[in-house]
Amino acid sequence: MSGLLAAMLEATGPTLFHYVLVPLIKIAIVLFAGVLPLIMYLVLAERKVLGFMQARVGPNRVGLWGLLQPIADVMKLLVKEDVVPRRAVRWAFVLGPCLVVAPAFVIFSVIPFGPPAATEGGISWFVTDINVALLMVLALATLPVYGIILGGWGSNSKFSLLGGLRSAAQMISYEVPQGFALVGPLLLAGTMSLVGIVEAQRDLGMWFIVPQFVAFFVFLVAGVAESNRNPFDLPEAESELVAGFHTEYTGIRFALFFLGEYANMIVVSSVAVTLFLGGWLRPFPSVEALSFLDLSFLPAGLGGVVWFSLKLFVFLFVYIWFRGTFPRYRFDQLMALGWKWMIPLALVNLFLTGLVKVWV
Amino acid sequence: MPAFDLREFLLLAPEILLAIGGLALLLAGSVGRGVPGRVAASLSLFFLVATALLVLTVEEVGPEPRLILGSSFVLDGFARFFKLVILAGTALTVLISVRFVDDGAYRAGEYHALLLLATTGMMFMVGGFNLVSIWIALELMALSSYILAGYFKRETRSNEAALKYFVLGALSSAILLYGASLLYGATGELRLDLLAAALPEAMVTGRLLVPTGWLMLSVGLLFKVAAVPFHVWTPDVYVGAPTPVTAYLAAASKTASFAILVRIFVQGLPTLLPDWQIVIAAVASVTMIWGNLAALTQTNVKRMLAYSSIAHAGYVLLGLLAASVIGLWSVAFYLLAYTFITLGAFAMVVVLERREYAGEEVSDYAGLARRAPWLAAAMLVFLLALTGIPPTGGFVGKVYLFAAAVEAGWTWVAVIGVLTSAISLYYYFSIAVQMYLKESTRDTPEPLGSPALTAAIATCVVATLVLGLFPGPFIEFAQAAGLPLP
Amino acid sequence: MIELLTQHGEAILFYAFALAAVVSAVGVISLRNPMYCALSLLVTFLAVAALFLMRHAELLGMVQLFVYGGGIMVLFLFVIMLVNLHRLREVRLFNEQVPIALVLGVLLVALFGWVFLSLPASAPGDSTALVSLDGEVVGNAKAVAWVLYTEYLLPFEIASIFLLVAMIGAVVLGRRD
Repeated sequence: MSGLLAAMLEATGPTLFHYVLVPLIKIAIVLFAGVLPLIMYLVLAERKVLGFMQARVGPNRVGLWGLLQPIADVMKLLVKEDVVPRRAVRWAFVLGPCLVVAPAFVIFSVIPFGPPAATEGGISWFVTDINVALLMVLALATLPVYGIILGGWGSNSKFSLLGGLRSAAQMISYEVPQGFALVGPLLLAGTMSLVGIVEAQRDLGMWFIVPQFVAFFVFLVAGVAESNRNPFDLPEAESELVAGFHTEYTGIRFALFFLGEYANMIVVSSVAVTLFLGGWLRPFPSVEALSFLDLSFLPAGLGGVVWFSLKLFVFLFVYIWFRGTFPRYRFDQLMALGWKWMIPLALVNLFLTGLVKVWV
Repeated sequence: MPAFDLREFLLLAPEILLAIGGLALLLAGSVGRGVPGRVAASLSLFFLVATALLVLTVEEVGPEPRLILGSSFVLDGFARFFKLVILAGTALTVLISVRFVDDGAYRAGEYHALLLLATTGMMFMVGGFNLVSIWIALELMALSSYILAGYFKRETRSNEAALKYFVLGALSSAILLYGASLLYGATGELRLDLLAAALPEAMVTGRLLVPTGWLMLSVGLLFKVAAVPFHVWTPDVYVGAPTPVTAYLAAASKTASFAILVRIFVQGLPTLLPDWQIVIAAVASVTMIWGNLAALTQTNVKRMLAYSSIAHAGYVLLGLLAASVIGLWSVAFYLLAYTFITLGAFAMVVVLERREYAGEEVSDYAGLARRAPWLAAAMLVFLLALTGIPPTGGFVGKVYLFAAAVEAGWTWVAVIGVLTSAISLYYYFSIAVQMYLKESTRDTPEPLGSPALTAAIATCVVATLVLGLFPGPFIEFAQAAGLPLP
Repeated sequence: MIELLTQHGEAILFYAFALAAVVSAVGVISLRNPMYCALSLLVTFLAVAALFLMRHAELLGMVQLFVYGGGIMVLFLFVIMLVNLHRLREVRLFNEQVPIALVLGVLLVALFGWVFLSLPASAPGDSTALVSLDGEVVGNAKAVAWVLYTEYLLPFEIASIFLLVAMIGAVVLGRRD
């Protein structure tokens, strides 16, 4: 492996190697070994958990405990007929699903799944660490709405259009409290680099969820709304809008929307874990007695990755739990909650955090 | 890193108080059915007077200009003078707005709040010492003005005025900003004094950036003062906007725009003085000629006053053209006088105006001398002052402006000024002829006064006459507003 | 090929994004379907954000993406979808002033081309000023924040009043009463 890398370094020169090839390899690993399988099995997990909550079995025919179900689903979606409605705006219809997926994937490039390299030349568990990472996450997280708008508008169907409109309104409204909620940890950490924010939690000796519980709560609610999940899944409310913006979609394009929704769930969960739950840190990072939890027997900071994954799974479970528990909000309730409760709450939190930061 | 002291905010207490006043009115306007017009007007008058008192007491003005808040603002005699003139103009606008806003049944709280916030923008403008702070303050003023111009939203003409003003104003702001960015690109400075210091070298290294930059900057500024050929928005906006707003645009907005024009040219671009003098000379000449010629054919008083306001921009440019001590203080003095004169004239329009823009024609003034002799006399004073005939402030101001231009060697431009003033006599006095020599008919609107309007008109008459008869102390006041010349 | 990329990569990217920005800006004013105009504007914003990023103004680039790309343009699209703007197709986009406007436009382009060509050819300026404070490299976000909240604090606050006025104006003029 290292011989191969050395050969590539030889062939391309240091600039291209360090700035292009290594990131590309890392991106490929994150996507194809991390995110995509995770999404496939997240869908299965959702069906299983929902089944359990509703006293059903869930998928259990394909493979042991239904473990091969995702593969069967993917096969099905891939071979299905790809229908483009006759009076649809073709390019918008085609572009829409891609625009939902792509930004979510880009965000993974700044998420630190594990600690940075302990030694020179070691393995860092993230693709890159930039000093405006938090802003980049926020900025890219807003872009999927274009995919939804384009898809909804381009389908030339009223259900799709209404679904797209709702989605646009919802995402814009909840972007604001989400942004404000993220400023709390940002203020405490004093940096927008996600690695820096995790390290700030280590230095502080506690996860930011403790001092920033309000921000965490707002972020959680806004995150659910941003990824169009229950109880805020109005853009695809079956009872009113058939399937919302993806009513007209079939086959692989539908799969892309689906993929996008789950990818965004994972993004929101990863960001929440990084910002509020200490990222790759173990619980109670300041308590020496618990240092065995660091799992330092694992090589190359892999212990951090384990912790990150555990927290991520908890989060994803919460998402599914919500879906199994809460009824859907009405549209005006959704807006009222966003503008009248979440934004003021986030602002008050921001104000108090600022005061604490200045005087303590 | 420039020194930065948060306590310096206290030195800008007047502006901050005015902004708070505007916000308070907004808040009051949002409660229930809004505040009654009289209450809103009284509140804004209170805030304006308090602000003026603060300007006089808090803003310490020493012999040297004092740069504050990281040099983005400056306290000097120039800024203080123009702040007071603008506050006076706004206060008079508030007085003549009372009946007008009530009549139209438009919400008064927001109207007065926008007026105060626009004035806040103007005060920051004249105190700005950095292209960015000047520009953002200018935008605050402009945006509020666009909304005020369209405030009578059920009247098509008001909509038209707001839309035209907005589109053209936004374009001119963009040009101004682009020019500023080119200058910044060439010099790396936004602060006016540093910009001035960096210009000589930048003119060599930046090649064409500097001339393109300052020309675009001037286009934007000349648009704001409504100089030909950037005046096309003026007649339509002045006619369509609610008359008190028109008065405000013609007086306060123009004063503030002239203040930054002078400050940027004199303090920021002194190196380019010979270049911009040529541009200003050309613009001033065509502005005086076209403004007066176009006014000749107007039968609508508001439109006539709009062209007259264009022409007056030309006269004021003479003082900048001279770029001398006397030139600069005569600009200040003239804008002081012009504020009272033009507000008085528009107040008279308000007196005769009815809904749906009735009562704006010159013929509507027929026989006014018989029906309302005092009002007619007041209008006569304003017309004399606008033409530049003694014993009015308009005369004194014009004399000094022309004298400054002649002294600086721009005799031909001054000659154009004198000739066009003579032309203006014709159209101004067509109103006087109507008032004193024609008989009223049954269709002629009755003058509709109110205590506030009467107070405004009386103030303007007295001010116009005092400035003409005893200009001494005011000239001294204007002289204290001088800027250091290159 | 690799040499071309490593040596001129930045220039190639710059011209690509600049071209995208200009072409889509032309699209904004010349396309007939308002939806396409809005999307062209979005492309312009994204291309400009990329240009900011290339000059190490990361904060500006991200804010451009976030505010213009994520906020303002979504609202534009929202309004376009809500309001039936199909009538625009029958309306003439430009009126009789086209010849004059064309001449003036070409003149302006020529002027700016001339200005641009008059400048000495030089490498892109040093961008350390964008990321450093008192000579210490702190990143673009901190450098911008420092200037914004000290020297430009008051203009920044004026901008907030400006936005408030814009909002009030929209409400006052748009409300039925």
